[in-house]
Amino acid sequence: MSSLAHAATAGLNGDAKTPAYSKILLLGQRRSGKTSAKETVFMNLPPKQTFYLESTPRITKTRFESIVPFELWDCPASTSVAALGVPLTEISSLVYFIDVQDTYNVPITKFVALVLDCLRENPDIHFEVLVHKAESIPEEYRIENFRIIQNRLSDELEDVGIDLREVQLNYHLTSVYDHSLWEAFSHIIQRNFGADFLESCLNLFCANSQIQKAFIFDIATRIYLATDSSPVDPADYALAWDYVNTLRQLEPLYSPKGRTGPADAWGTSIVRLNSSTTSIVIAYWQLNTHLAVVAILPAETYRERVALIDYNLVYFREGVQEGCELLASGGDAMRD
Amino acid sequence: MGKSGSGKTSMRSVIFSNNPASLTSRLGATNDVEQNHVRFLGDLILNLWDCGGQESFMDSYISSQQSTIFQHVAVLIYVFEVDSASNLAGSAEKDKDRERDVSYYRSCLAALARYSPEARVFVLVHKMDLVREHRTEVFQKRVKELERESDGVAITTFGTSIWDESLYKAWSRIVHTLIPNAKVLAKHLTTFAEACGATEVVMFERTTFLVIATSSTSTATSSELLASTNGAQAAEPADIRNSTGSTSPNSLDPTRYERTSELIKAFKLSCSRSQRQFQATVMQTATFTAVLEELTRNTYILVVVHDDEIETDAIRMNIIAARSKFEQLQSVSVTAS
Repeated sequence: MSSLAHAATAGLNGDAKTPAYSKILLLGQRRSGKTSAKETVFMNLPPKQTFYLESTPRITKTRFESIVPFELWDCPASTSVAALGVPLTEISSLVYFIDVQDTYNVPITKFVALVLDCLRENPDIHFEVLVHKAESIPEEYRIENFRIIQNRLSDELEDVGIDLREVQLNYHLTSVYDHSLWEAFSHIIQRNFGADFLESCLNLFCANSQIQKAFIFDIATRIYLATDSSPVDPADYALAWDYVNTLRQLEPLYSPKGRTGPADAWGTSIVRLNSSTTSIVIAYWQLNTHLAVVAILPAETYRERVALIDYNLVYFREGVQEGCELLASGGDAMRD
Repeated sequence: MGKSGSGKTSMRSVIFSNNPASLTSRLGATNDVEQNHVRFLGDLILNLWDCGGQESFMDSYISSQQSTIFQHVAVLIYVFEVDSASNLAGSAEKDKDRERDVSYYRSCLAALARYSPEARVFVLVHKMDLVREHRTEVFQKRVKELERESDGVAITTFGTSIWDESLYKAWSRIVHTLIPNAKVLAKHLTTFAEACGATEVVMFERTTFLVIATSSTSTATSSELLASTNGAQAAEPADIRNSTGSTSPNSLDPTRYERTSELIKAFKLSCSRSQRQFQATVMQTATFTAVLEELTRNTYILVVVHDDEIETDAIRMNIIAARSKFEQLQSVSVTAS
């Protein structure tokens, strides 16, 4: 198992230097949910409170110092590409919000114009379309509406002569009330960050501990930064996200005020779930101040191999910590 | 009981039918009386009468159906909508509405006094989430008014909202009064807490995840749960904070029971969405260890320990050992009712 630590460094050496701050733009029509999304995902605003948010009058930049440093630019609806004040080559992702209940014509035309502007200067930019506020329409129609918007957008883009195969464009159906928004942002952040070393660590850890599926979460934002290379079942992610969400709200309830434990006492939580066929265990292990791994495995495996898993976990944690330190010193972006 | 649209059925659906709060907007109005039998703690059957609030129904409850409705009532829950608009223009329409609501309330109390004088009265000032500022002030004002209207009947008031933990708090207290040997349970939980070296032990009902009883290293908590006279207003958390603060070793978040109910219930809901059932959880952080495990067929127990030398497995062993005792206690409690 000691090879884990090596895997971490090896994976990292292959990476290019991370740029200081990846810039992510949030764009979209008025009241399409840009600020709501930012506040709930990154500032821990309860989803219900987003109702009271005021509209954003000017571009607000927020920096995040997780293991992937990035900057979110929350732009008012009127923002044009020229108004950004930085060359588009510096922007890594453009997140465009479309309210699912809106009439799609205006936002789609605007988005097409935006794509044309961007591609002229920076063909590598990632376009992420969030079809937002999914909760506002009944579940049966959600996917259908999502497809309609997706097709309309693709058609319009092709009409203006854009080859969709050459554009990095992704669609997400999101809502602040469930994990979908976090899943979308997970993909957005992951595209800006070479998570290879985390993934190879996870692969080794899972293979050697007989874990079905594991995610590395950023604790503060509940975004997952990496997962092992087996395919992601959305239900697994939903469950893992819900668990992390529950834990971080439960924790402060029973923590005595003004008392902190030893610095290296990383949190551990296990939950057992039953179903008609198999019972599973979801385990949450904190890796360092920012990260935690959430693993899903059969309850039986966990019972039989708990010692092995704990042993592997020690090396896995070490590997990830070392990798993150290297990333920090190499990328000179970690400031804590 | 309460005025039409005040949120009675919504509340019932959140607590007893495991529906998320966001789905309550789809509920229709209740016609006449909807009777519901809810199994609580397995054998204790709560008979919920969800009374439709339209005026025609209300009139008939008070007149022709009075003897049926108000006989053998253990608990009357009257739901008022907190009306945030009252701060603004007190339009004549609103005032009238309110007056009518209060007069129905008074008639209900009168009928109750006649047919089931033993019944406890809980008044919920509901939809507190609609009040954005000065929540406590608005609530206090409302409570004063209502107490004045109750003609000396002892009432317990809660400010509630289906969007946060306050609803769990109110219902936990309500069911607490219905469990005959709650005191005995609390005493045993305290003994159990001492045996585990635990800071605190909390017992939850399985389906609703309402708090049934809690232990405490002090006797304060259990008496608090029972204290429910006019004076003990739930939305005033200060009394709880003070009494536990001095005796309990750690000053923990005063809303923790309700919050736990709410969180675990939400998590159970998301588990069931992926066809799984929540079974047990163990949580270790830098400062505490918490074990949430099935205790009896219809209860869960949460043990919180603030001592990192106590192994979680030891706690689980204790829980397993205590199972039969609590199983027995519970069957006593149910047959006694």
